[in-house]
Amino acid sequence: MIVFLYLLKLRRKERVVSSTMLWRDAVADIQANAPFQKLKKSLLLLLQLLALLFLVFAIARPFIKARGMSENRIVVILDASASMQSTDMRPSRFEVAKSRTLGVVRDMGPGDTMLVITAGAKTRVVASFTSDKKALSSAISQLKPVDTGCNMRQAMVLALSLVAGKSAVPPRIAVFSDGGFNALSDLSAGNARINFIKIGRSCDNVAITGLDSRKTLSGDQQVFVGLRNYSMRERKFNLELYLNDQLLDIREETMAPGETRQEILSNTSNLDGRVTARLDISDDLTADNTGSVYLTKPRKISVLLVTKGNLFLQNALNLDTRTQLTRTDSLPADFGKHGYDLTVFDRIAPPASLPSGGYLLINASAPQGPAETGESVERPSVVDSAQNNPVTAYIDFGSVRIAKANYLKPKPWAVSVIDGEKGSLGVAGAKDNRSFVQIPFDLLQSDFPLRVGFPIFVANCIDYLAASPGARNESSGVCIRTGQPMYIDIPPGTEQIAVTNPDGNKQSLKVTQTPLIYDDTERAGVYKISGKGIRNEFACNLASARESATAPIAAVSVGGKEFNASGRPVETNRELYGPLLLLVLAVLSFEWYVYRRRL
Amino acid sequence: MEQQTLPTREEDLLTPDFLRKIERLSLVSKRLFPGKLRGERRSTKRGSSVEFADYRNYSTGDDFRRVDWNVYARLEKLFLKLFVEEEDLHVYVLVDASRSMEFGNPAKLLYARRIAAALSYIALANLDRVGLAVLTGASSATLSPKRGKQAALGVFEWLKSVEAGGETQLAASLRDFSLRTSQPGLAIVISDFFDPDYQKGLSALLSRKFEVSLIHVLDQEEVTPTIVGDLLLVDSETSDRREITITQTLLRRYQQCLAEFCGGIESYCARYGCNYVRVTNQSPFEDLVLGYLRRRGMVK
Repeated sequence: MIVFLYLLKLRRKERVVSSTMLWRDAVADIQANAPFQKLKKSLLLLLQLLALLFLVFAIARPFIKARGMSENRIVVILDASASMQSTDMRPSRFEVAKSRTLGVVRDMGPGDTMLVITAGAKTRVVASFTSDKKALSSAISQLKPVDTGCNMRQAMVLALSLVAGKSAVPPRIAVFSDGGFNALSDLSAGNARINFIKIGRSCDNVAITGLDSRKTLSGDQQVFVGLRNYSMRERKFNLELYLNDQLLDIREETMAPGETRQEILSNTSNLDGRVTARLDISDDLTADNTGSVYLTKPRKISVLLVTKGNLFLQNALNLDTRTQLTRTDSLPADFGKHGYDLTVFDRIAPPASLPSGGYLLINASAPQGPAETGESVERPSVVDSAQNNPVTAYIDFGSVRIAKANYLKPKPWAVSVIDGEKGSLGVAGAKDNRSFVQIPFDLLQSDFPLRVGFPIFVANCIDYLAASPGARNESSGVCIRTGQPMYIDIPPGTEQIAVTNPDGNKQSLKVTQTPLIYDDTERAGVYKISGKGIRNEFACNLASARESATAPIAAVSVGGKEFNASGRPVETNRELYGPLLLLVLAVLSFEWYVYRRRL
Repeated sequence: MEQQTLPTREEDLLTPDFLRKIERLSLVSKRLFPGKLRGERRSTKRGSSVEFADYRNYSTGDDFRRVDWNVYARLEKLFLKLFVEEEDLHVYVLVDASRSMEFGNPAKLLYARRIAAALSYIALANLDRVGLAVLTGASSATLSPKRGKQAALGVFEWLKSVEAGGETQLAASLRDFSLRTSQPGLAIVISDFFDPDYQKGLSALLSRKFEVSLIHVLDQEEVTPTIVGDLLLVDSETSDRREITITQTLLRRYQQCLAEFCGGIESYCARYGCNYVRVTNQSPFEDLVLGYLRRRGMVK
């Protein structure tokens, strides 16, 4: 087109001059200096063609392979799981991954944007899409690994969704990991280009892969410790067992490469507290060298049955080996002083003032009880029962027949657990260190004691009522795996608690619900809970075979595509249209300058 | 000064004030020319002026009053004492009136006519005989030589009637003029010399023993062109059409060509003893006549 325009005859302005003699000579002189003059004459044409060439070239979007990212939206997934704390690469795999990520940030071209995700048990976006290298470097530098497994699937799904359909250039996802995560073969990588940068060289690790306590049928308690040597050489070390930080036992272990072993600590029936297992060994990963489990010493439950005679109930209470049952026809004089864990009032009215403890009220009502007695009804039928309530769980009330009952009206702090047609037939609730279960009918005037659910109901009541809120909250803790949420039971009236993690950092939590869900359990170790009316602890153990097996993998598979590991810096297609457009501008500027000079 | 020197109307070539100023001047002729009547110029003839010229032997019939008796007393031979004759000088002012002289503001032709008028007046005031010729095309229209200041008005009127037309053919028109003029004298050619064969015309004048002076009149636009863009230049005389694109290089080359063109005329003049004066239509007219022409030795 440009050449065609040049071929067109220029419409020149006619101008009469006195004589063309001198002009003739001047023009002839210039034309005589061919071919350079010819070249000069067509310089504008050449420049315009050159600019057009660059423009077409730019539109074709050429690229070169280059280090770093260019004109790309790139997602960096940084594996922050426990295995990344391995020290086979100095100072640690995670630090190496961080420094490599910082290298990618340094190599970013102008206009590149990067998003950084850490993949632990939880996926976190630590820096949203930005081209601010300083902000990215600062965010990456502050990252720390966690003692959890790696939920790479969640991170990859997030990364793929963030880059999907954002640009015509295939998005790029760089995964800095040792591969300690589940297969991602069910995901679809789409057009994303995935760089898997393998972090890690070898595996020299011995781990506690499992830790648990259990009760035997004879009432004894055992502590089970699972060990595995993941390294390629024989390891000798000591297994140390502590009870509340007091040394309990030391066992010398020698494990062949790949060997798995279970150690059982028996005769712990009298132990009460936290048992910690620790491997005295120097290996790549220290997070899996320690684990804790809690033992509870069985305690007796004192039960007072105040009844004029109810064999079914008496037998049901006696079924539980923990109970120490005392039966009486009337309320003893020293009732307030004795401090029974559970008191059952069967058709006998309780006193106006009740001490703290658990109370099962059967066809009896108390002023401090959980419900007010309503209208009397003949042959009421049970419409529903709360299956998720610990009192009525696993029991079918549907076929229970009752001769006569008084409907109950639950107080605000109590809930109905057995619903009749026009009112409640069972209420449970706790207030001021007193917990109640109230049944508004005579057991002997119903067929409930004959049902299978009856002993379960009694056992449920013992568990619910004997463990008073105060006693429950001061009981020994539980152990969970790192990354799992912890459900903390909060006593009524407590508005705020503090949780101190294994690093010593104290975190205040406002109580909004019971149980309170605490999910900041990414460090392995003992967490202490403190607050008004609550003092407790729980332990988080890594206990993950996948994390302890720290040998890096060679390739990851996403959606059936294999992405081989590469130790090289991330290479991308550096698009050239930016520089080419600048070149077009430069050529056009020069062309304008030449044109002006000609004038 | 310019305002006073040049008349407000184009028809009035020169103002009376200016005429008074140039009355005292006279044209310089390097060579001696025989005249027709007695005048104030030294002639090639021997005559009766006070300026001694030569001796010659007495021959029969000579006037005894011219015998140098002092020489006879010393040598006892009769010698006649000869004196330089003073006669009038023939001055020819030749104005190029081709169409190229129409250009410029003021037009080169008007400028040329004013120069011609001034020089003619100077000559007439010095009792020289002034003849005018207008060079158009291959021929020349002439005004027969006039003498005396009283003829100035007629000369001016004739100059006013000169109109541009035709092509510059200096070779032909100057040859034509030289052939038609029997009495040689001072020939002042006022032209833009846009004719590659101008040298032939000048040679024709020189061969007829004219003393030639050239006044080269150029338009300021021709000296420093201000035209821009892609143009089709049309020659006003030959209608020659030339496509050009004005560039810095072309302008530089034009300047070189102009310098070569003017340098060529100047070197020709130097070689053949001609006076050469180059002016533009923007040169102050009074400075030109009273200063520049004086310095270049054309008037004194």
